[in-house]
Amino acid sequence: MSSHDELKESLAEVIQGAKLKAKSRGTSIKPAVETLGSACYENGVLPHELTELIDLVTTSAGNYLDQASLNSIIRNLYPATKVASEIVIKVVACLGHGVLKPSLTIQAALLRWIIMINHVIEGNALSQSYPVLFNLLDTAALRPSLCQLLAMITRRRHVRPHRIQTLLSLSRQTGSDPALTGLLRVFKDYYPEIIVGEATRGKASAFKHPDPAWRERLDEIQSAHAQTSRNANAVQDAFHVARNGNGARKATALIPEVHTSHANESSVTLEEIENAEGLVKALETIEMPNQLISVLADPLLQKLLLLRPDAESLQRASNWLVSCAQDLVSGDGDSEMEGILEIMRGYARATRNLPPVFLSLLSEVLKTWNGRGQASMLEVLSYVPLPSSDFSGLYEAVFQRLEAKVLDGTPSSQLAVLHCYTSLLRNWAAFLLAQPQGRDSTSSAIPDLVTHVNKLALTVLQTAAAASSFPASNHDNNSSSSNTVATHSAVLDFYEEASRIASNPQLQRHAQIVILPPPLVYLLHFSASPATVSRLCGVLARYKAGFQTAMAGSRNSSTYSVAYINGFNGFLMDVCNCLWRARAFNAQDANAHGCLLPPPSSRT
Amino acid sequence: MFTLSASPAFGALATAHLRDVEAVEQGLNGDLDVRHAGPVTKSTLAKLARDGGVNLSWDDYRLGVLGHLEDHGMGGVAELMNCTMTTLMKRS
Repeated sequence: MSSHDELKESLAEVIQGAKLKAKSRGTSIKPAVETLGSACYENGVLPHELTELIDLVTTSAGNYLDQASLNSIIRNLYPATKVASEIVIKVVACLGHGVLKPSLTIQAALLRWIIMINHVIEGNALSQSYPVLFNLLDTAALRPSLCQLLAMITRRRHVRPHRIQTLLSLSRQTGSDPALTGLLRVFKDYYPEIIVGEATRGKASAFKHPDPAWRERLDEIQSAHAQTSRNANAVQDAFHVARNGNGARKATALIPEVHTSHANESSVTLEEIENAEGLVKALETIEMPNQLISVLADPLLQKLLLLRPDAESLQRASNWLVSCAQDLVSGDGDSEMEGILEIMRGYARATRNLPPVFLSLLSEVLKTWNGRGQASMLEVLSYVPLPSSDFSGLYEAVFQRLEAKVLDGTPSSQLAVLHCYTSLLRNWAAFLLAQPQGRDSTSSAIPDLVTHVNKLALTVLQTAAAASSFPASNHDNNSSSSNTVATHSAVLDFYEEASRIASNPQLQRHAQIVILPPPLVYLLHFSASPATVSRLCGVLARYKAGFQTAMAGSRNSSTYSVAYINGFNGFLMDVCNCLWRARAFNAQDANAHGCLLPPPSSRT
Repeated sequence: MFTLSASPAFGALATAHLRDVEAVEQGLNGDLDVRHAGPVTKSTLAKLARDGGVNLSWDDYRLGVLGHLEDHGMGGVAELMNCTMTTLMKRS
């Protein structure tokens, strides 16, 4: 019996049992409640069952389940998916005094549950029921949980004068209840100048998460469910200010969250923006937050600064980074370095850009870098912007140091660097394509990069071949041959990128075509993998198209020397001789290289 | 030795293509007297036609292999051949 059936069965049993008084039930309901609880704990609750369970615990009329069973059900209510707003409305509706409402302990447990699932609620039902929740504050039994929930969902528009009044008087009546003081502090964050005095000075609850272990289990269940349903829409909502509570990694703890304090009634703060529409409407009036460095980690602030670039703000952000880097260089904060790299990677990924200050910072960091966080480092560096002059300056400042740290003679390290160059080339191509048409800024950076990588690619091929031929003694041929294919495909990734630049008429003007090193062509051509050979042919075909348009464009053919073109044509001739004409290694045809074999060996 | 039919990379795929052609032929005209054995060359194809196997010209066979490769996600070869070999350029 699958555990889902188990859940369904025990659920039906419990619902049936709840209709009868304890005395009139034939058997005890405890075992059914227990199986239900463990089934929920195992796999989480799907939306349909969740509705039934919530109906069960929120109705008291005709519900004869005992307190302990209800509590145990609520304790195990791990939703497997997002929670619909109807569920939240049902829970909110059952709060308060009344004959038909569940007991106050159950209500408090439900509130605790809402606090814990707050981050997986769909829609803004909670925010809409804010007034209802607020008016329940006078119920002492619910107050601690309620204050915590309100503190989580309060937005600027919720903070109204009458609510401040109510809170202050409640706080006075209850002798500064710590929970109320905590909520008051949240209100004070929004309007620091209105709420003053001793009210917020007392002891305040810190609003800790009620049950971190529960939260952890919930995350596990949710991610397991998302994986099984191949539902990969767990992306960070890009139009919200990111909050650390919402599943943030530890790296972001380094960067302060977005808070705006110098706001007045007419201004809009980032924290209030809920969706894309809101951002567009308020774009011009948004107040900058206190800590601009949060731009590194906060998707909303990133968008704001992209759409409304502001020299002063960027300067403030870079000052922060510089001082942070100085701390790093002087102290020994290895873990922090990894964190910073992680954040930079997030920033570069989101904005497709690396500000100059990053570049100089990275250049400094690379001097003393110990190789930790290599993946992040390589990815960040692949976003280095296209230099306006040539590649050598950039190479000396950044990539030479990188290579010195990363390359250690193993194929895997060389492949890692090669991947980095491939994405770098792709990003440069994308950057050039995004430029307005007609701008001719011939930079030698791309040809320089390709020339540089030519050497690396050849090395990779040779080390990989050596690495796979030496351990062949232990009959590990299978894995070593797939290794070679993987290496070949990594090399081809780069050249496919390069050939796309060579054959794209718009990109061509920016970059001269650099032909592949001859040994590389033949190493790949005589690979045993059809995919490798085919991709090589595709690359050659695109290069050929590129040369053709380049030659047609400029009749004087000054860009490329005849010998250069003939060298390339030789590749075509050799490949065709092998594959099509059944004349392999023929060196008699015009331009043919005879696959670079020395004449005597091809004659025999 | 390094042609499409015989190279270590493409030999198996080229043979698979020939078998496809033979199967189609068999479906249309009943049994074939002989099937091709070993790597295909221009002369073996001619011999095959004489002996009652499929009647396939050398050029059609090579084009067929290119198409077969393309169907299996390896369009690069066809791309290169189409833009380099003058006979193919005329065809398209």
